[in-house]
Amino acid sequence: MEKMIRLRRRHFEGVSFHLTKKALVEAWLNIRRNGAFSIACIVVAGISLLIFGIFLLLDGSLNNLVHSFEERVGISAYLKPTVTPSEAAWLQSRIITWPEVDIVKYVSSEEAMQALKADLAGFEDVLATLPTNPLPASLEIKPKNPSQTLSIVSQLRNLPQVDDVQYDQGTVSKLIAFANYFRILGLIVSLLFVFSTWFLFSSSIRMTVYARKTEIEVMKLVGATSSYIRYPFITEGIFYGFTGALIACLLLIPMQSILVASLNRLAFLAHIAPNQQFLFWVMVLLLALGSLLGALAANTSIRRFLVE
Amino acid sequence: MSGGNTRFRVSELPRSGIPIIELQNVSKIYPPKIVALDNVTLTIEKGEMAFIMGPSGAGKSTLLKLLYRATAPTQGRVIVDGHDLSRLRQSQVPYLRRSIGTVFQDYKLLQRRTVGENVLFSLEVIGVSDREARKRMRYVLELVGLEDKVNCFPEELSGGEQQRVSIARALANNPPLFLADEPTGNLDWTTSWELMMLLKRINENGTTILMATHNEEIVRKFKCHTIMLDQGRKVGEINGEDDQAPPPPF
Repeated sequence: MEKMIRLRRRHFEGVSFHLTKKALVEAWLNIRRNGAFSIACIVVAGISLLIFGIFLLLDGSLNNLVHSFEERVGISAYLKPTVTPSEAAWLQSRIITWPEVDIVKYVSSEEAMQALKADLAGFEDVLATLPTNPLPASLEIKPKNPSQTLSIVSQLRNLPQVDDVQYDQGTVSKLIAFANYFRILGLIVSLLFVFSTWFLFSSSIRMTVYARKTEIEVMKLVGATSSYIRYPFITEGIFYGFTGALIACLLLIPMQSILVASLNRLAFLAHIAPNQQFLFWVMVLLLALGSLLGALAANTSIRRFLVE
Repeated sequence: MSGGNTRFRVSELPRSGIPIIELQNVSKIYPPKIVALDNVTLTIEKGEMAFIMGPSGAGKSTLLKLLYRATAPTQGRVIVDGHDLSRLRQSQVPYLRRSIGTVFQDYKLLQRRTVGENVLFSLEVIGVSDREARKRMRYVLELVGLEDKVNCFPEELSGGEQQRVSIARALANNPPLFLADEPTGNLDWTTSWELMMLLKRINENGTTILMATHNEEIVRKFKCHTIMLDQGRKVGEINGEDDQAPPPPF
């Protein structure tokens, strides 16, 4: 005999237009019923995401600054006077094969003198008093990664042709350390704000869930699917997160302008301000993060009521 | 069962011989060590009207909960219409419940919705179209005799009327199986009796009814298949009389 109870759906009940509309209407009712609490959710989400956005912009600038310093990092290996240009060329071809090394440039003593003259423009006469050119020839080396500077330096010092090695490691490593501290601090602060946002979202949605406890109970009893029960709450969560993120994005645009303007005032920092494209991706990230946060908080709040 | 058919099936004979509910050595222990059901075996056949009787704490509610899968047995098998519920996936539970009407002592009505909306709500959330839902709502409210209270709120109704709304809601999806957990628990004797006659009529239309109660009077008058529980154990079973006449009102 055919079974009377069938455990399959009899018609399509997935994410249909009908259900989506229903979830939106229900969510909107819930949001309005929550009143001031809904506004608090959006405001806190907005502040949290704005702070995260500002952090990302500053981090972007700092990254650009570090990169621009890294570009300039160089090691000068001064060659002994006895080293001939052909020997230097041979040495250059060997050093370039080291895995840490990016670029090796040979600077002859004449070239060094030219450079010095250029630097001392107006005072070239001082140099004319010198009987011979005292500047040694050198190899200018750029490491692939600034952190490898010391290893290259110690290898260079072992070379018999090299007289002395000079490098400027300090500034960059200090800058990198600062950038790392800043990043950790920024992430901790952002995380704290994300937690408070999560907490507020959860409280607000739990309030809605409590207000609709009997309805949920009846829905479960008469056989509504758990996704049907969930949709309106998740929609509510996404609404809080997305709206908050939207506000954060709108406030972030003037923040970016202020940042660019203040960096431009210091000419040598002008190029480190994050560009429009960077701002665009930060905004996309904030909107996605806000929505995701809302959806996840809603999902965890409602899940307890759905599983027994 | 589906589509535009709002008619209930014409009765299959009572005691059809085909089981719709089977419990095989079922035990339910709530942590830490509360034994709600202890090795219970029973069979309810299609078309029956049956009682589970026992004092409070006997395990009646737990037994019904097992049937609509609000809880799972610690041991043993629960089979509803051939479906072994222990093998049921969580995603199948809603579909099981659509085929089981349930009513409770506390009615579980939505106080901020009217009688009609309460019934419509239960159909809407399982995806029945508006037109179809309205048709079924009118049909079941007529069946329980509340067609003129469609626009009342539950608090404007008497206890017996509220229970009839919850019965209408449970019947709206035309379930082959109907579970009632102490439906007369809050009602006086006359109202209880009217309610029982309503259940009887629903049963005569072909719906299998299993009702938990501690009211011996009702059980005695109805002379239906009765399973007696005490402290989680089955302590007796009375087979109902075939082809019984409707019991006298008092």
